[in-house]
Amino acid sequence: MLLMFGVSLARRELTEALIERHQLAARISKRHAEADEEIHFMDYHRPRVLPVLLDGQILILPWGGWKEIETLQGEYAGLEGEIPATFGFDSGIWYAMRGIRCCVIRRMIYPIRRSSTHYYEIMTRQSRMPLFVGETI
Amino acid sequence: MIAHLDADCFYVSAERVRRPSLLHLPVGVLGNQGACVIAKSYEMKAAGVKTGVPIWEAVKLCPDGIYIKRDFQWYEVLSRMMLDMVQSCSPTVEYYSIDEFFFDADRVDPKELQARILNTVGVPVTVGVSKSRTLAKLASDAGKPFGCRVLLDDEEIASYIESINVQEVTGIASRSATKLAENGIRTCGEFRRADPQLINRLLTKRGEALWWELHGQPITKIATSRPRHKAIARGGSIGEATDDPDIQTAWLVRNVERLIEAMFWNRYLCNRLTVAVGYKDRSFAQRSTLPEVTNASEVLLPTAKHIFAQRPPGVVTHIDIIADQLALAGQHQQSLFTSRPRIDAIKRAVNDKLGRFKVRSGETLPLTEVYTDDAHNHDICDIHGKTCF
Repeated sequence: MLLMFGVSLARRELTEALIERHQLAARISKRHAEADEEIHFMDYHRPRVLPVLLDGQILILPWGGWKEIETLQGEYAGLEGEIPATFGFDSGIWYAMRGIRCCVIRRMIYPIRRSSTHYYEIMTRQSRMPLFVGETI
Repeated sequence: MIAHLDADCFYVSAERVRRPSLLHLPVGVLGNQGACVIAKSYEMKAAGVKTGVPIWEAVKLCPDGIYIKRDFQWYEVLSRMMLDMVQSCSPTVEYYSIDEFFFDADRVDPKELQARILNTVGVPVTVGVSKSRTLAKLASDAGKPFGCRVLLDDEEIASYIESINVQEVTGIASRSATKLAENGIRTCGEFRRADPQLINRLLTKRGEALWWELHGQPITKIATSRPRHKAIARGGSIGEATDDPDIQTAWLVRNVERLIEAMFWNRYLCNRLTVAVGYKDRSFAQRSTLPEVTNASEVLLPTAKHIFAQRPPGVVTHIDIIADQLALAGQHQQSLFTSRPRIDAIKRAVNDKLGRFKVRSGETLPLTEVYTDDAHNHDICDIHGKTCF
């Protein structure tokens, strides 16, 4: 089970209008004085939302929960999306990534997860991990 | 003049080349199993994280740090780009390690080279220039990060190295340092003032060479090609410790296949094979002399399996395969009675076209997850031609 999960996206990826509409300003932070600003989407944030890349555009939609890859059947065909993210957060560890595969069902985002690789399990001590875009962690 | 070029926090810098969002952030590169920090940025170092610490300790010191999996395939791409650039401006270059090069600097502008590498490769480097490679290395250490330190004046050299701990000198590890300390030698200044015969008695002629090098006499030459190995090995941790014999055998076979690749690349054949198995609380090692000098799977794999079958049962953590008593291909006594091995040539022909490990032994099937992750399939020892680790 994933505890305390979240993703971070560079602030410049989101328009000011989107930040304002979804009241994301309080989630903006910087890790270092010279570093880029980031917006965090953590599972403990309310409202619980995630960014999603659909038709070349980033939208902010409610986070519906996780979808287990083993349970995904054909009915989800055409509902796949991608959560754009620079960093992921799991159980206290921030790590670099390029994004997470997800399903978008009735305007809700469901990140997909799978069983952890040995590496991910050692790093985070979690038995399930997100299905990453373009890489294995 | 000899120069030493050293990339600044290379693994992190390499990751920043392809992930600019990591710039200015505390970044830790994790080892293969995800448990330890094997390299860190200066920002993470400032938070107190040291190389080798477990991730759970690093996170306590640097909770905002970003952790990333190491990728030696990518690091090799950038390393070879740097090597090409150094070779383009100097005729004598030693590929010392993945991120360090020694070269003849007589006709090189080190600052110009440094700027060219940053602009072309994207990696910041530090260059030290002096009269010997030992001094050049100390000079680059002094210039870090992104510096260029030239130490040619004798008084400046003496003053700079006076208080440096002898263990900062490459070639003086803790045991040598203890012997030196017992004779009142703790700093490079004290080492330089010591009698070279005393140094020879304490540290053999290799230690005395360092004494001359610290006096500006270049004893150790720049090696433009790698010296021959005495032994060659592949293996290490098998990831999750297991008592499953199929998984253990899969790791054995994987390591033998990697060893055969490395032997072929280096044009080695061996006369002896050792299999070493690590358990949580003990170890097992056995060697076997081969019926002929060879690098063929048809001989090495059955031999390794035969030795492996003698191991005691238990939960295995490490498997290493070591080939020694090496001969160079073409310079060995050939047997009249053995058929020409074929399987390795077929594997190489396919894998050269389709990618490493595309054809491999069916016994490695329990490790499908390992093979599907490219980061597992390229280790630092797979970067050929380096003179050091």
